[in-house]
Amino acid sequence: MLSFVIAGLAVGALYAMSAMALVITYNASRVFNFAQGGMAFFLAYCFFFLSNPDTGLGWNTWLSAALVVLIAGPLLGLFLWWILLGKLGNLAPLTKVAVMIGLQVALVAVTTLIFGHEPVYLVYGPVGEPSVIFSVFDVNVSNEQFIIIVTAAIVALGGYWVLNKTMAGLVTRGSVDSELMTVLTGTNPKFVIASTWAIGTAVAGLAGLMVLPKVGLSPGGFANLIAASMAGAVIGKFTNLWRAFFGALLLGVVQEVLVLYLPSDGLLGTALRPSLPFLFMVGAVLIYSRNKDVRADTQKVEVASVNNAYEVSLSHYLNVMRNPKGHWDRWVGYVVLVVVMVGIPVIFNDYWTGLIAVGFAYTVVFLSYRLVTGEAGIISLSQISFAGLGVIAAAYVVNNDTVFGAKGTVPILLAMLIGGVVAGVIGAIVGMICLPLGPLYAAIVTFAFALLVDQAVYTRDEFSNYGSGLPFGRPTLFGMDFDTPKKYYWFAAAIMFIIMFILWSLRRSTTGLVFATIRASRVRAATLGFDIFIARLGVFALGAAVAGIGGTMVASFQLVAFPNGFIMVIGLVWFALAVAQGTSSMGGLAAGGMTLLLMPAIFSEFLPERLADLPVLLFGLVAINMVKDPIGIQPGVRAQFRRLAIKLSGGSTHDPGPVDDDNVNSKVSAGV
Amino acid sequence: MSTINSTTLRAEGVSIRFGGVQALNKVSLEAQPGQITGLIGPNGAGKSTMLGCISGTLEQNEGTIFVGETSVGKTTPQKRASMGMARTFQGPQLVTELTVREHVILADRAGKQVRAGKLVTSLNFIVALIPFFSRGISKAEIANADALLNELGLGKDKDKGPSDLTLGQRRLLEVAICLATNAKIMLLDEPSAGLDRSETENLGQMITKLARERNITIVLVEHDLELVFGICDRVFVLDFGQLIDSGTPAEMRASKAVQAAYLGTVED
Ligand SMILES: Nc1ncnc2c1ncn2[C@@H]1O[C@H](COP(=O)(O)OP(=O)(O)OP(=O)(O)O)[C@@H](O)[C@H]1O
Ligand SMILES: [Mg+2]
Repeated sequence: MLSFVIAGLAVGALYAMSAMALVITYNASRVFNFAQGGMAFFLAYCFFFLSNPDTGLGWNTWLSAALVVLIAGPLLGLFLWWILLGKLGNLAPLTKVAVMIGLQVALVAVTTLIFGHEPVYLVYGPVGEPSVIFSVFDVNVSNEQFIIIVTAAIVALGGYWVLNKTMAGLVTRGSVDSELMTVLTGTNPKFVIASTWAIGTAVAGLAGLMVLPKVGLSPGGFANLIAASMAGAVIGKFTNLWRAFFGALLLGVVQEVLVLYLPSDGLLGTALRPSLPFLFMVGAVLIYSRNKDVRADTQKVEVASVNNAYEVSLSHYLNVMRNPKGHWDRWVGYVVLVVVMVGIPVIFNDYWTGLIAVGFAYTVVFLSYRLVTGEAGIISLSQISFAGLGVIAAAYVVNNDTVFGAKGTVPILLAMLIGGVVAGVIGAIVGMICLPLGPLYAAIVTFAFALLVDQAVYTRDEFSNYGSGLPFGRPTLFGMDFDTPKKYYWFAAAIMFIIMFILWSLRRSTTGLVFATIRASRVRAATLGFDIFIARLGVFALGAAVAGIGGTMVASFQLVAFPNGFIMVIGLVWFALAVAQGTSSMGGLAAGGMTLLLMPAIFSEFLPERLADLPVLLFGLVAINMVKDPIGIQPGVRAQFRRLAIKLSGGSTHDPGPVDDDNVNSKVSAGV
Repeated sequence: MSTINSTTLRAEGVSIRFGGVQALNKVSLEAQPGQITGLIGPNGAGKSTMLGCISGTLEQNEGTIFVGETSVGKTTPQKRASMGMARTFQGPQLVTELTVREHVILADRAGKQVRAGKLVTSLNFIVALIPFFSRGISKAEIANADALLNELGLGKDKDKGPSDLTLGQRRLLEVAICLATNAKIMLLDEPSAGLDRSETENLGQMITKLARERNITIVLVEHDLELVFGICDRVFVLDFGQLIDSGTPAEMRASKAVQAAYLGTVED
């Protein structure tokens, strides 16, 4: 027992340090560091490069570790603050999350571009090979465990000291609530924020180095560390350092001690431990959502919504689109669309036509972002898991005797529908957990859920068919077989357009108006009588169902249900791409779904293998670019076309811009 | 004064604190249907906070709110909307993506559905999510919306978005949304701020007509004392979260306590 507690403390100490880094940076800058895993990954690779005698420089491990944690870490933090992180403070939550996910994706891609993308499984941390150094009460403690626990204790004490005994700590906590306090204490808030990023990155790197021996070096390897530290952050409501620290520590201990009590195989044995971060979050959310202070539905502050950067870009866009002239341009678009759609299977061979058909399937998955993020304004990082769960459910009913029919007799089309329904039901359950609290909680809970699905569902042999995937088939409809790429192309296109039509009419309906209101102002929506929670939950579930159907379309083309194509790490890339294109624009999401597939295919045709991660880097960078263009790429392109059409119709596109009411407002609130 | 209709609005002993600030301290008031009840007081007196407690966007620490005989003090804003309450916001809560006219049409639909209990019960809402069950915008709806907007003087701007409106127009749109819901109880938070004299008079006439002809209970929070004393039937005065006086406009005009509060002198 005690040895498990000690092992747990060593694991939990890593989680706790990492959680502390999340909370410190959030406190100072109000930006939640979704890129912490990427930062740790980059720094860990730097360490590996410096210390490895075979492929790197072979320096002393302690020296390498010190260089990475004390110099490279802070420098990376400062550099990122300087080019990006310092500019995020006042952006809308969705933009912040998208940019940070973009940064995560880009950092991982940069790391693998620099250091190569072969995962390294056996890496020693600074401690080297673990050995027993002493024993207490008959329990052996390894030098590694000892050093981890001591380091975490030092970091925690250091954090305590800085926060409670120094001016910088006062300011860090002060700058959370008001810039004023910072001004009063005379410290430059920029300096404080920059230093917290430097420290946060260093601590994240430190935790990353120490977890290395457990997880090796691979892009997804730090996911557990990050999920556990996010659970800590949620327990601390993002701002309470000590709750976060001890919450994460406890999580580590529970995770290790559970080994004692769990069977070594079966669902409970394999699924419970990786699910713990998610379960801890669920617990925290359930407790906190009873307290109305943090409930998003009862937002107490009445903020006018017209002033932030997102709203400004949006109103510029809408001004162009509301211009009475030039609306004929959509017909040009439709004609081009029809010509292209008909042309593709004629011009391209089976390989490329099939690839584009899969692009339609991905587009369907991406259209789920229009519902979840575009309509309901929810930041969801688990759309990919809903797609994967849909795939698994569909393949399962085809390959097993179920209520829907004996093995092999369930029609593929029915199975696809079942996949959608299962994904929708699971989506409803996840929604109930992630929607009662604010947008950041939704992002983190869905992140943890995606990881849970990766580790507890995809790994099960009855779903993964021992890694090779369950066989799946092509649908038949009215005696038609969609068995060739060209036929499947038309099938996928039909489903895609049906779903697009549904989404289009949804936006035009009362429901669309209601969601526009919910996104803009909760208090307005509530006082008009709209049930915000139910509305968002409904759309979240619908979005999960659409993602599930899209997933089954991919599997159907590939003739195999391969859940490992739907893991969280890839999901982050999807999210970055979808949001960068503009989640409320169907054209943008279609562009997203197509680029996701075509760009790597095109790159791998023309570029060397070593640069395989270049497209991913680009996807990350477009998401980062949302700092400048928060409504996404597609609306901007659309507006350009409309401007042209307006000009051709002899109209004027002069845009006076939104009326700046800052002055008026302050006059009014200062009292007339 | 003490007859209680089904749309009589009463607040009893409402208190609320924000951290150390006692924003309201045991405030009671009553508003009758067919009348305009004024709520005045200097900046930061707690007027908007009071409307928040009445409409349910804020939850009071003590006291309760009655609509008719029913206590609604612990219910959601949605529930209160279904009981016929609507409000405007001092800092306009408008939707960039909707045009002025769409705001009004949505409010109209919301009012109808909410009274039919539709948007509030979950099952119906999910049905309404299916696009084929919900309608596009009809000619009649457009005509109704335009009539209301013309009356408020927003006729020219009905295809604009809220970001192209002046602050005064945004406040008017807030009023238009409130009116479009056809609520029986309307809470107006400084609707005249940013309007000129003639616009304010027009607004005052509309509010009066509404109260009298459709027997609506109106609570009017205003800084424009001329307007308040001109159209209100009864006025409540707040200062530092306390109800310091109430009575007819004439009484309030003469009240020493009110003058002191507005002039900022301390009373013995
Ligand atoms: N959400 C809140 N959090 C903290 N304090 C608040 C909040 N809302 C209001 N207050 C405080 O409560 C007091 C009353 O504010 P309220 O907005 O109700 O005043 P008001 O009478 O409407 O003033 P005005 O004429 O400026 O609109 C003020 O001191 C204000 O600072
Ligand atoms: Mg006010």
